[in-house]
Amino acid sequence: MKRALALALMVLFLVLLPSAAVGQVPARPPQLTFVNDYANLLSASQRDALTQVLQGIEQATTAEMVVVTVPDLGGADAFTFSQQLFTEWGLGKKDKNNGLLIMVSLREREFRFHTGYGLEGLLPDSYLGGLIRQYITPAFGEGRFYDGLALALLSADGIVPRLEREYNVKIDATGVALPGTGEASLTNMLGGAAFFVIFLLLMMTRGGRGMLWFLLGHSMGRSSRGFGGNNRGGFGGGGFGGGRSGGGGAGGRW
Amino acid sequence: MNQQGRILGVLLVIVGLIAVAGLFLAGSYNSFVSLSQGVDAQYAVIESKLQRRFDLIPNLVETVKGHMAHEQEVFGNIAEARAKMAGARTVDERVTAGNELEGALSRLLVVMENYPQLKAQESVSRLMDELAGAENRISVERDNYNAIVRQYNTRILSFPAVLLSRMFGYASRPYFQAADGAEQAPRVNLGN
Repeated sequence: MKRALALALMVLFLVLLPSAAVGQVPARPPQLTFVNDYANLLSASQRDALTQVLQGIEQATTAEMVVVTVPDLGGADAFTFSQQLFTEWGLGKKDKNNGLLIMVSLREREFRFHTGYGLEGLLPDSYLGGLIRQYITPAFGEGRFYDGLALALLSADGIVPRLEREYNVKIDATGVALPGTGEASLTNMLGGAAFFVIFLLLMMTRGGRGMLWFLLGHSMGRSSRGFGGNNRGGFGGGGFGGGRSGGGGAGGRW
Repeated sequence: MNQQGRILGVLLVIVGLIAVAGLFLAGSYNSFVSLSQGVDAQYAVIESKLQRRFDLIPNLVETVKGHMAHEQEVFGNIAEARAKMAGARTVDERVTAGNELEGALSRLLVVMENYPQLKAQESVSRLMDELAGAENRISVERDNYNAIVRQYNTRILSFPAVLLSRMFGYASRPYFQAADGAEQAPRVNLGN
C-alpha cells in the first residue's frame, strides 16, 4: 500500500514536472516573421533590411533564421531561454530541422545563436562563437545592434556567404548595405559621389542614355531569373516550423 | 436445437473475448516494445553527446598546457580520470569516471580564469564554445531522455497495462540524473 502510494506520488510529480517551466518566452507568431524586435533595438528600415536577408536565405535554402530581441530573459539563463523559444516556435522545416535562432536580450546583454539539429554541421558552435567575438560583441557594445547582426550575416566569413558556398545558391541581399568601419563608409560615400558625377556626365550624352536602359534591363532580367528558380512559397506559405534543436550554438555577452 | 444454439452462442462469446484480449495484449505489448526501444535509442544519443564532450578534453588540455605550467595537479587529475574512463567496464564505473572527469574539467575551467591572456586567444575561445555547446547538448538530450522515460514508465505502471508489463518483464526505468555538482560546474563564461 505504502509502495503504491509512493509510486502514485512519483508519477504525479513527473507529470507535473514539465509545467515547471523557467522564463516566459514570447508567443509564437502565427506566421513566420524573420525579425521579431520585442526590445525595439532596430529602426523600421533596419528591420526591413534584415528581413530581406533572412527571407532571401529561407527562399534559397529553406533554412529558417529568425531574429528575436527581448527586453529581458525573465530570470532564465540565455541557453534555457533560447532552447525553450526555439522549441515553442519550432524553427526550421520539420524534416530538416534547419532553424537558427538569433536571440538578443537587452537587460542581461546576452546574445545567442541557437542552431537546430540540421544546421549544427554547417554552423558549428566555434564558428558562431567566432562571429560573436568578431562582429556582434564589438558593435553591440557601442549600441550598434543592426551593424552587428548585418556584419555577422553578410561579411565575407559571415553566415550568408557560407550558406551560398554550401548550398551553391545565390542569396538575394542586394540593397542591404554592409556596415563598415567609419573609414570604409567614407570611401563608400566618396565612391558613390564619384559614380554619381560620372553618371550625370553620361546622361548628358545620347549614348549614355542608351547604356542606362541597357543596364537597367540587364539587372532586372537577372534578378527576376534568380528569384523564380528558388521561390518555394516563402513567407508563411511553405509551412513554418516543426524544426527541433538539440541545444547547439554559441552565446556571448556584450 | 435450442441447446445447440446456446452452446454456439457461448462459444462465440468466448472466441470474441479471446480475440479482444488478444488484441489488447498485442497492443499493450507492442507499445511496451516501441517505448522501450525509444528509451534505449535516446540513451544512445546521450552517450554520444557525453563522448563528444570527453573528446574535446585532450584538445583543450593540449592548447592550454603550455601556458599553465604551474597547474600540473589539474592536468594530472584530468589524465587520471580519462584513464579511468577508458578502462571503465560497467555502467556504474563509467558514470563514476565520467563524474570524476567532469569535476577535473570544471577545476581546469576555474583555474583558467586566472589566465586572462589565455582566454583572449581565439583558439581557446573556440574550444570553450565547443565545450559549452557539448554541455548544452547533453542537458537537452538528458531532458529528452527523461521525457521518454516518463512516458514509458507511465505506460507500464498504469492500470491495466501494469498487469502485463510485470508478466513480460518490463520494469520501470531510472531517470538520468545530473552528476553531483554538474549543474553549477562548467559554466563556460565568454563574457569579456
